[in-house]
Amino acid sequence: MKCLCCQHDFIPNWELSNMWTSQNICNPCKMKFVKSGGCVDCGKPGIDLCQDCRRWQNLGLPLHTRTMYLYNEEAKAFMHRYKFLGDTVLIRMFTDELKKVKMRRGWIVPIPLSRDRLSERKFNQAEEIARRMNGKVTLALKRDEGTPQSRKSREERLKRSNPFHVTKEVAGKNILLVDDVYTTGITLRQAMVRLKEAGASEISAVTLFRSI
Amino acid sequence: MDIRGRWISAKQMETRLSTHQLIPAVTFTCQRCGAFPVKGPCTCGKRCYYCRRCIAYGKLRTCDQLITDTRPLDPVHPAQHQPIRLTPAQTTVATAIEQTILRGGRLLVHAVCGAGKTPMFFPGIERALANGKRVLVTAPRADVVRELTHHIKQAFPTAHVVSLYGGSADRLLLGEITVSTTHQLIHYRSCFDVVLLDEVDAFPFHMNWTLHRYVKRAMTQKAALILLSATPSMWHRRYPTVRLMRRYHGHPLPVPRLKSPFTMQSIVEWLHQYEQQPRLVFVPRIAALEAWQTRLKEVGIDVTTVHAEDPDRIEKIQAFRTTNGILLTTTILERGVTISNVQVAVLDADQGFSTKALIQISGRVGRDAAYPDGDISFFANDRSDALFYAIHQIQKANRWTTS
Repeated sequence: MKCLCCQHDFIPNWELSNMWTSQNICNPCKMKFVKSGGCVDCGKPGIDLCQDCRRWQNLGLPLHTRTMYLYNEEAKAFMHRYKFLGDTVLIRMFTDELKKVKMRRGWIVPIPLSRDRLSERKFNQAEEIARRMNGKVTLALKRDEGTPQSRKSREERLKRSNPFHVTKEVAGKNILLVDDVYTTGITLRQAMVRLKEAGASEISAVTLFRSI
Repeated sequence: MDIRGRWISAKQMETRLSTHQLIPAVTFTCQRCGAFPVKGPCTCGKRCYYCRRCIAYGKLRTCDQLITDTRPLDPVHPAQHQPIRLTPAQTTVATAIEQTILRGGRLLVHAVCGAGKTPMFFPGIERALANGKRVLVTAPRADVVRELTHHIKQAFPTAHVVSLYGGSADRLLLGEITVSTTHQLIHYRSCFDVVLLDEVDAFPFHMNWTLHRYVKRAMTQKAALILLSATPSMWHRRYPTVRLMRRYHGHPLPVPRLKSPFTMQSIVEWLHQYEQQPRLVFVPRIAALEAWQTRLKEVGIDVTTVHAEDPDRIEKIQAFRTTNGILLTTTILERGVTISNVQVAVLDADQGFSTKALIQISGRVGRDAAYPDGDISFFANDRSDALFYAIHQIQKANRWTTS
């Protein structure tokens, strides 16, 4: 079979234990991604509760985020291919891990792109991640225009105002927010604030990568 | 931007003229590279497919279009080359090249490593330009392209020479003489009347039909195609062939010495024997580089390693040229490099080296007229066909005379 990531031929290791998993990447490519661990609220490695999450808790905005992998060099290369070059089939590499995420009955809400960004890239990477999870994907948020987060520094990101608006009835629903990379956590917090204002019940989040 | 003869993604051209032609970028196959597309999410509202193979040049979807200018290309101006000295054998080959260019036929030039292939093209290129034909010199590897551009720019100072490789400043340009990697030809169609294809058996061109298709597409209907190689395959030999088995300085090729079986001791002795000269040591795999480096360190010999994915390979090779050190490498260095007075050893020569690779490796020695006899040793513990066939072919080449 051809590895999805490196396009080389490899022999998948089918055993009884992994009969139900999809073997679409070779072992060297699988080893490139490092699982995150540590902080209970965001998965930053090293301590039980990282400084960022402590600050969010003090500000009254705690949000339990489950991050799957660390944003190392290999993850950055993957993101470049997936988001910027637009090679969307690469997200199939993470289907198994994404399907394992358990959530209470509710809606999966991906963080939306602004209209400019969507017409430029023609797909929402967070929505594609969300569609690979178990649950109902609802596009309940809308985002105003602005420069892409990835081009801003940490200080610039913390200063911007909340660009999100809620577009569906979320009162009493449990929401699972989905995004691609967690850097400061501000995007998720801003979305959470809007959803709480609209009456959502329990909010948690899942992201693919955690910046180190 | 001038896009006559080239097809690019319509998103890169803002203006539309009446002479522009648009085609859908991806139908059943990708219209740029010919691969089968895969489905991907898109805001265009319909089932949208995109091509994965040529995504590095920009994503093409079914909702995208390719654009070109249908106007004819500018005529080519004649140019003279700087005076060159060719041996009689080289002159025969140069004449054959010229004849093929005028006839519009096919030719294979089977010339050994170090025969001086580059000056042999110049009379042919001059003739082609004089007859209004656009010339393409192409090679699979970017370092060969860079070296060739340097030589051609020096030889033809008045002609417009364009150099294309990943990351070059001349991207998507078209000159009177274009020197390009085979990958960059993806954008060009029916532009060139004369195509000189160097190192035709190198990776990645060899066995990659997509790259073959790009070259065929870039030629015009009545173009002349000239292949050059030191190790052509049976398939290439079906073309009319002209041979040159002597180096430009006239000395015979150094014949490899087979040291079988070998021990660590014999390798150390060999390295000590040529202490005053730069030594190049080939190993079969990138993984083996680390192993050999540690083993040699245990006996007190320091080596530097270099391989294809090494980010500092250019600096390491430069440093190697000037010192008398030992460089451990994989087949990345089998072609193209010229280092004076180098001595070459191949470790585990029976494993993982094809005949072509061994012949090309042997071609690294004795290229400089000042040091025509270098030592090339194959250290092997077992036998392989490639080993004996390579030695046999080099000996046969040395028996060749111009007839």
